[in-house]
Amino acid sequence: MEPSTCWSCGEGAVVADPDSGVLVCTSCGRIHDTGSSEFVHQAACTDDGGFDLRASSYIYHQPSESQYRDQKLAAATETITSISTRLGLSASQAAAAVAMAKSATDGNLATQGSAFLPALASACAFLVARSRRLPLSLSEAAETAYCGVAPLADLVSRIASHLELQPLPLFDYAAALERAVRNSPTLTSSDDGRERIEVILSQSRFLLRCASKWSLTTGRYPLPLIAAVVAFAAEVNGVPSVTVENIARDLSARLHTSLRRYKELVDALVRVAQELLPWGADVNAKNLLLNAPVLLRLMEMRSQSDPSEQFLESFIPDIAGIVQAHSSVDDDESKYLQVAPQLDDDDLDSSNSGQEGKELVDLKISEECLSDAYQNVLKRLAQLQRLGKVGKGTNRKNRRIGGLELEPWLDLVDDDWTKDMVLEDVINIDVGFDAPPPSFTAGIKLQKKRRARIEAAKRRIDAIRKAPVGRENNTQAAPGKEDTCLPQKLASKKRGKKRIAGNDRAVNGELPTEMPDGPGGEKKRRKGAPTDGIDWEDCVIELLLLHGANEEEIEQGQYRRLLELHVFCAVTNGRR
Amino acid sequence: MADAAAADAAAAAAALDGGEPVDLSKHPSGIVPTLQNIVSTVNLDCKLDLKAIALQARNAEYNPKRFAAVIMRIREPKTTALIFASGKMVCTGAKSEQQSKLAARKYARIIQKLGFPAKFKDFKIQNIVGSCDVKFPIRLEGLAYSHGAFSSYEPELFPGLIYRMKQPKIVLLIFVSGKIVLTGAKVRDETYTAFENIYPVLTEFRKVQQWGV
Repeated sequence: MEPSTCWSCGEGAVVADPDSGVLVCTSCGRIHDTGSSEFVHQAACTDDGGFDLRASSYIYHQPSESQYRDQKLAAATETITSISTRLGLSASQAAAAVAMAKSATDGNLATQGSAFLPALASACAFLVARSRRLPLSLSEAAETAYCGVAPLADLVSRIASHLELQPLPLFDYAAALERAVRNSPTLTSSDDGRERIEVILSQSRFLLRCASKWSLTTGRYPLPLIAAVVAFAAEVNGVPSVTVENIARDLSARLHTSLRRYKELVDALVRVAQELLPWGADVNAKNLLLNAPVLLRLMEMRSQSDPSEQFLESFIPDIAGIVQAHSSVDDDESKYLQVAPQLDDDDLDSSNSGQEGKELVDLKISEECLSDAYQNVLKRLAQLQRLGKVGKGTNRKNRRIGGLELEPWLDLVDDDWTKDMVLEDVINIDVGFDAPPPSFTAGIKLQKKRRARIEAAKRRIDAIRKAPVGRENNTQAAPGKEDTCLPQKLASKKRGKKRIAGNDRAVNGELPTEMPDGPGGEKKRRKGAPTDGIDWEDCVIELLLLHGANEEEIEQGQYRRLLELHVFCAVTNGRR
Repeated sequence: MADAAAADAAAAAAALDGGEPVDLSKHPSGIVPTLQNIVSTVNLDCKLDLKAIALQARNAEYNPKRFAAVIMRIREPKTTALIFASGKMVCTGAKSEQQSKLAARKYARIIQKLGFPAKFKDFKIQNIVGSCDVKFPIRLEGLAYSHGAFSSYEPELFPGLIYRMKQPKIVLLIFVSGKIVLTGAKVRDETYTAFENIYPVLTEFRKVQQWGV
């Protein structure tokens, strides 16, 4: 078979490329695509120069399929590497993610452009990151893959089980916190944030330890709590424009959950302040930020030392200095508030507090004097406001001073929390306050409420049982199984009658009119607790008690199950 | 009638006095898991025309595009059944084994009344779900760390710790509030045994309160 001449250059011979099988010019290199029917490969020729059709078709199809596969694999590998790098993995870790993806898909990976490929990439990157204790959260991985957290979690678990991977280590809060603080655009974009980043990080670590101690981390999404902690630490340090919203957005944490965690953290800190600070009774969620530097310092000292009397005594003299340092009133402002000669710092010492109190009691202050002082303060404040010396700036300055004073203690705290420690070890600190998990507290409160309702229902039932015979006959309120459903039946009949005032009247043969099946009752129920009488829950509890339901089970609040088991049940021999 | 009323009153009085005591030999922890759901299967041993069932029965729904079975509900015992064309039936939602069997019989009777020669073969309880409350908070992190071979604790995915017990083969969902869910049992004693097995472990990881200064 004579090689043809290139029609482009007119000089070179057109031959088949031995590797790809494509016809190329030996002179100019032009690719001659003559179509599949005219495709000729050297290996497709028989010894006598004729075409071997089987071989030529094989040669034609085989390289093109291989090409497609190679291209697909190359594109998928590139995508996985790109996503892994975006998620913070190094080159070697990204290669490990690619290898894991290949193993999970038997080397096929996924088609470019499909939704599965980014999900596969994120899942493998997440598994590699978590196995190396890198602070990559599932929500961040899901956001990168443009898929939901639940489907990605499902894919992660399927890959892990398919490859029989070891159980993943627990989420590394310390690393995630450090990453959140250092990579937060909100914090790093402002000058104050950059300056205070180490202090914010240290305080955040300490607050996270406290939050773990108070069970705010257990069973919760990690990122919202980290967002709440970082936002609080930033606010304590007076970094402007830092809010929970900003930090939550930076971390891909849910805003609503982050705000809830922030509120829980603030509530817990208020309770700590009420326990630890001498002026704790005045601390609330609104003024917590003013007291936070002192409070954090005190908590850190408590966590570093034993809470012995000697320690507490050694701390007491510092209170005066701290009070003055964190007072929101400047010296030149405070003198207008003083009606007595200015007291020295030592006078604020608690050891002299008795004497000081006595002096203040002995002072005779006339009404005119007080009025003059008040007017003086008002004038001075108005003047300062005009000059712009009263407001955020001064408060921020004061808060910064507080933050700076915390640094020596925070260095000690940081030493405790090394990267190798798990959260379980980290939370074993004593900050002078401990709290059960919020869900546990909520459960206890609900059970107490139900217990009170049970007792009230028992009293009502007893009152009916012990009612005088004459009255019983009049009202025809003999106890029995049929009568137990009367509250609901009679309530609808008595809807037009006068409402009863309270529980006592309700038990005396008169039955509740505020049932949820009526239009008024429905409205009441939607608004919340009933204003008077008994509500549907009381009726259900009464009914269950009369049908012999266990009180402890009623306390759990599973009314529907108990009603089905005890009231609307045809099978009785199956009861425990 | 009077006797029945008196018996009811006595039962109610007993309940008001505090209910039945727990058998401590069977439940050393003093806590008895309560059964929340029973899933059972039965073979009606005949081919069923699901479309005909859906047309004739008022309490049935059938959407073959969504699910290839008739979904039928009864009010007492309040249960739901999935009835397949092969004659196999799944009954869910009962609160006790007896309720589940009674409900399955009622469904079979309904099918019979619709003109199918339904039988009641191979009734079997497939799953029992129970729950209880140990009334103390639990350190899930510590439990997951110590029992890593059996536990899976991923707060990013699920707030509870998933504990896969080997013997009996029961899955437990353990929550920080002290609430426990046990699933996977075929008989209720497996649920009880699993809880008695896990209870000492839970007490070991009880979150101890350190109140005050």
